[in-house]
Amino acid sequence: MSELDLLIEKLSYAQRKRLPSKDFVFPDADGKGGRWPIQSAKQALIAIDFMRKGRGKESEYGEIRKAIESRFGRNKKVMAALNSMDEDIQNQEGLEEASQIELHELSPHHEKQAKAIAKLLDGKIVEAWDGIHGKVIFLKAHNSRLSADKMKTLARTVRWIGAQKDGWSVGF
Amino acid sequence: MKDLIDSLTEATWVPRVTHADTLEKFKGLESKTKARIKKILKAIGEPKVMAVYSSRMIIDEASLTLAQLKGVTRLKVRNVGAFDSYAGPRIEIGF
Repeated sequence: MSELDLLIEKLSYAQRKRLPSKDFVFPDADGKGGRWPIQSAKQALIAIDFMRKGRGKESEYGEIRKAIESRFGRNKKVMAALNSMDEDIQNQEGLEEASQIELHELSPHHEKQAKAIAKLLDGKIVEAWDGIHGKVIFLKAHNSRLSADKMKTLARTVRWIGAQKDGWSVGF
Repeated sequence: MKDLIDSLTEATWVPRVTHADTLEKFKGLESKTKARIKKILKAIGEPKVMAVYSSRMIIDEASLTLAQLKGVTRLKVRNVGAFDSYAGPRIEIGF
């Protein structure tokens, strides 16, 4: 088994065991640099893959990234992988599951629907959320019990209904 | 007020209850009531039960999906309520 194969095996073990990314270290002047030193471009690519998958400590990514940039700045393949990793991380951060909105920001159809639900549950809308899973409203209601008739009507429009401390949350 | 009295008299609540606990809570109820409860629980996917009374129960769920809502509607339960238990909000079903 070559040295590189051994390194790859160790790295995959590190990924499985979720070892911290500080295990990737650059060799010192005397050649000693920890357990999994990044000495070649291939090893740098493995380290980038490690970070792309979100393994290890995010606080250490900056240091590893800086070291890779300074050593492999002229290597197009490594730099492309590094840039692509940055884009991936930005996209992941950009994905918002839901955001709080004002009721009037809903489309007229959904606003009407939300108001109808609030009227049916005899409550006041205190929060509205819009996200990739649909719309959610939080209602403050004095009466926390729904009669059978109301449930029947509600079952036509909502996706789920949740109990809250002083009211309901409704997904539609 | 009734909720308050009920919550005070029910001293054996635990946040997460086992199936055995659920069965234990059924003891003392009429067989007709037990059958009704089991039917309702089956319709909503057999959730754990936090407390059972003669005409209502509190299940260990904080929300009902559309399918569960339709299930309880079909069984003509009396009402569905939001119950503020010490373990957080839970669903109460009146039958």
